[in-house]
Amino acid sequence: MTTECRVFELKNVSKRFNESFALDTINLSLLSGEVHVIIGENGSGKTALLRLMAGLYAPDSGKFFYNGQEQQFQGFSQARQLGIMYRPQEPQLFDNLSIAENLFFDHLPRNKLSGLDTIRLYDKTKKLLTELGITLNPQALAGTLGYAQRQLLEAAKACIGNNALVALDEPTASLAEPEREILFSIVRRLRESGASIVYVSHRLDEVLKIGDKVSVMRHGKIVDTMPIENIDKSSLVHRMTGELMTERYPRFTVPKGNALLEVQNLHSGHILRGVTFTLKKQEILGITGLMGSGRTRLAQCLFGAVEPSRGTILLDGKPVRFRSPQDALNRGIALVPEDRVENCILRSQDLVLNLTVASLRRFKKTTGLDSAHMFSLVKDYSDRIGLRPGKPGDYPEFYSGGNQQKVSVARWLAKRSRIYIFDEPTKGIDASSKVDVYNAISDMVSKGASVILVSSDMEEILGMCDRVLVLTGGKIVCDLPRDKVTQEQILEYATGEEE
Amino acid sequence: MFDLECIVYPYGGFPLFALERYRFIDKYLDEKKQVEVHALSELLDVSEVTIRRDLEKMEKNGLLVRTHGGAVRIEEEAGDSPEPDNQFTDREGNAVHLELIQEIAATAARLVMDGDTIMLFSGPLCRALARQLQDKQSLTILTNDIDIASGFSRSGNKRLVLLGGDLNPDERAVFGTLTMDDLQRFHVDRLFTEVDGCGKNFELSVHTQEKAMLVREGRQRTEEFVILCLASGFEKSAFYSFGSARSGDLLVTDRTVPDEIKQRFFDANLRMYTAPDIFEGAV
Repeated sequence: MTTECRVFELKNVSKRFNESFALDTINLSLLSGEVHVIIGENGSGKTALLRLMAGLYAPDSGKFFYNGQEQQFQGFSQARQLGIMYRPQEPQLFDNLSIAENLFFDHLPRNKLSGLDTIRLYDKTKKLLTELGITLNPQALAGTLGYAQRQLLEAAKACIGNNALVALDEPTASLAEPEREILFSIVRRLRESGASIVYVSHRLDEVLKIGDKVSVMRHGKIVDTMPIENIDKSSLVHRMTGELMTERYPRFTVPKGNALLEVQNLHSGHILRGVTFTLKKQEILGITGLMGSGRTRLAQCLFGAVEPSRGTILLDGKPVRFRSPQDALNRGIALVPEDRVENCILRSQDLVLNLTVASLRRFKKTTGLDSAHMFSLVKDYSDRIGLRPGKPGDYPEFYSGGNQQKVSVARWLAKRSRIYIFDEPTKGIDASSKVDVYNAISDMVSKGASVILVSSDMEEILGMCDRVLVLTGGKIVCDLPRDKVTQEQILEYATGEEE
Repeated sequence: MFDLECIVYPYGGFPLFALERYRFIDKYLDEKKQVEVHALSELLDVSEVTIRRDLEKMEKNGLLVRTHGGAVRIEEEAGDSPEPDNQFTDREGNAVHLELIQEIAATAARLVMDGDTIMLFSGPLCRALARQLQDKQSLTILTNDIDIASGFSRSGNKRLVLLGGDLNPDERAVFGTLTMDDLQRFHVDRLFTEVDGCGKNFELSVHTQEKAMLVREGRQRTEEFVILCLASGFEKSAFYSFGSARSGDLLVTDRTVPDEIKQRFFDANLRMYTAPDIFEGAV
């Protein structure tokens, strides 16, 4: 920290991604031997910023300075040559190569005949792993490693070669305490070697532990940058959140019925570690948590897409076991998945099939499907959910994100289930489509359905839900009615340390 | 002749299956308002019997009405026949589907809790709402509309307070200083009022000055202010304004409301119910 050398500087950098998301006039300077932590809520643009620095995206406007010189990035490989190392959140290892080969992939030691010097490779790997305190066999295949070990390995790669700037995207998202310590030691080692480290995190305790400077991001902007000495946890939470708009959600106050779905001590691998909650009839239950907290896995377990390793699910007071989504569907549980392009829209198929594919049984008659009935239902549904123009002959793959999401919701509404699980129902869609989706959710709840709303949109959680659960490290750490909980509390629960 | 080219299939092919023929006939109806069996049979290269069967099925599902040798849209049919029941004409003479009014009313009725004290001001939307409230228990209802009052006159489990004042025979409701004085004595949980215009800056307006005054006064005397507005009333001004929609107010409209309006309300933190009435209940 003695040399005040600016390694990397961004000046007024902007990049527009779509109508609802953009990085807006980012100013950031990174010094050598400094850990710069970037925090912010989900979707505030942290990962996008890192990818911009790593040359994966080209900015629309603004300037980059690298060691005091203006740079025009041509792409990822040029950034790598300059010594910029980007480590994405998902570890990217070659499963069929050994740990040593993965680690030294860019710097494989060669012998005199420029062949692979295996002895030196394993030697160096062993030395590095011992220094970092990772106990792994260098010759083992990367494919045999667990998720946490893969993450550590991914971070250890940054120690090899001369990296002037290391960008780590949530390196501790699913690490337990001992592994986190190892990761911190890697970060400290990099700092001592004079590298500048950008560290994206959700967890406030980490910020205080290893950060030198903190930048807070909100809605694609850096709203504040400050040295670590000047902050405390509560002011940080406050800066992350900003003003809330929770009045605009069209919810009804519906008297709640009996317990419908009870989940007791649900485990799934290392991701869910004892989840317990109850869903009442005609209730909207909000489940929120940070990336990697197990939200999506929980939704998958309830829908039968993943079989839980332990724990019980009671439906109407009777234990049920879902071996496949078909089981869950037959019991009246439907999931509207997060990624509509991957998991929902049927390509090369028109709106009629896209809307009716989940409920084809309704249209069954002795000679096949009642196409006229399907046709009129599709016209009616697309009109009611606000698909415009929503012609039965349209191909939803060409729709905007908002319209695709409405197709997804309408498809499962036609299934007429009792329990609906929505996984991020409004992520990345325009405001008017949000209004349509929320109105559809309210409509179904007032007509007897129950909803589990999995979301990282805090306003949506506080605006729509009757009860809010916070999932942290695979456990429910907070279960409060909507009017008893604030955004600050949720964030504090979500970013808090695990016991 | 009808242009085959206007039916675009991104993946090529001709309408061969029943579903594709329905789509074709539907689109044809959109453009031509009526279809003939022999023309369709030629265009689609199928027998007239098949077309007749198609039209029969589409009629059964309410997509069209068969005529001699062809079919027409249902809307056309309804316009000709004396069926005022499924149409409603608003002040500017535009036809509004009664279904939309009923959906607004049903959605607004869900905002009323058993045991509430509510106020309903005059107008067709509020009258439709009053009809939806028959099943609610132990309500106290204040109104200036004589039709609403007479509708509740026989229901035992509700208390009805009819405000006094000068009767306006067109509106079938009472207005004036007497009504305003009467209003001073009450405070309600929810006030339902329908507006005739909702402008760009969420400015709310009605057609008569006496109603604007009454609503302005009533707004001071309620916990929650519920605005009922047909989608045709947006981006319009009905001359007598009584203030703007504020955060915390509830707006109930029908599902034909344009996307830009939804967006504008959402961005302004205003709650909008679009009455989609889409869920058919769990099975």
